[in-house]
Amino acid sequence: MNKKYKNKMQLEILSKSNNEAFARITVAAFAAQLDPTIEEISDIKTAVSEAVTNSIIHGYENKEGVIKINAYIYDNTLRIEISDQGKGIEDIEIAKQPLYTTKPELERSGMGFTIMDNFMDSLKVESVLGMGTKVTMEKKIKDKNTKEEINQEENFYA
Amino acid sequence: MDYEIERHMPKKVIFDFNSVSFMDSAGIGLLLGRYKIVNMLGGEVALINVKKSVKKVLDMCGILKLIHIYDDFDMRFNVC
Ligand SMILES: Nc1ncnc2c1ncn2[C@@H]1O[C@H](COP(=O)(O)OP(=O)(O)O)[C@@H](O)[C@H]1O
Ligand SMILES: [Mg+2]
Repeated sequence: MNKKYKNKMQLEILSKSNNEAFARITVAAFAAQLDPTIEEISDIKTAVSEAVTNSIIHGYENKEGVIKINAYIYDNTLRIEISDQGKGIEDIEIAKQPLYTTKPELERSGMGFTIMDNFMDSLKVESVLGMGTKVTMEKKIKDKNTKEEINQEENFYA
Repeated sequence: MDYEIERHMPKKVIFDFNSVSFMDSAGIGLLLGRYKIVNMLGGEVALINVKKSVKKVLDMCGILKLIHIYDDFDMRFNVC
């Protein structure tokens, strides 16, 4: 999506696990202007949590690093980019498989990418070994006004 | 928690999710870890007071095939 965005936010956090909640809540607050449902907000929070947690535990392996979070609003769509300059992913297609994890000893479920994929409308993962990883996700927030209008029309004819 | 489970070898471990308002795959990993231990000892794991958004994540990860959610009714009438 190269169209001009209507709004933008940028956030940089250190890869500390207690910054994860801060990141997800901040993105959710930014998304609020699209008037999402509680379910849509919860989907967004979960997806952000997965990507940020991955940067912390896989990208930087709990060493200190910077995670960048950019979010944009285009019409009714929220776009979120989360990137780290950590170790990178060797094979992205394998990493995205459900249940695949390189850290089973940490009780990882290997469901992070599956959750991002399901809870958002699109998911793109770019990564270079030794350079870092960037996850881009988009979600269209359904327009409640349109829904209301439809309801009103239904009422009109009822 | 694991120590308590191993010491008592319970038939049923019920987690009250009343104060759990956010779930991600890290939580799934944690639950699965407890499930494995309890299951190995012949017991069962169940959840109560699960919020809708939390349930959506559990459901998506297929965990509800292993761990059941009991509602108020089941608890009150001891059917679980
Ligand atoms: N930001 C990242 N940097 C490096 N490796 C990553 C990153 N994100 C994901 N991975 C790799 O992809 C795998 C799958 O990720 P995910 O689906 O979230 O499962 P989990 O986090 O439970 O391992 C991880 O185990 C890891 O090897
Ligand atoms: Mg993960």
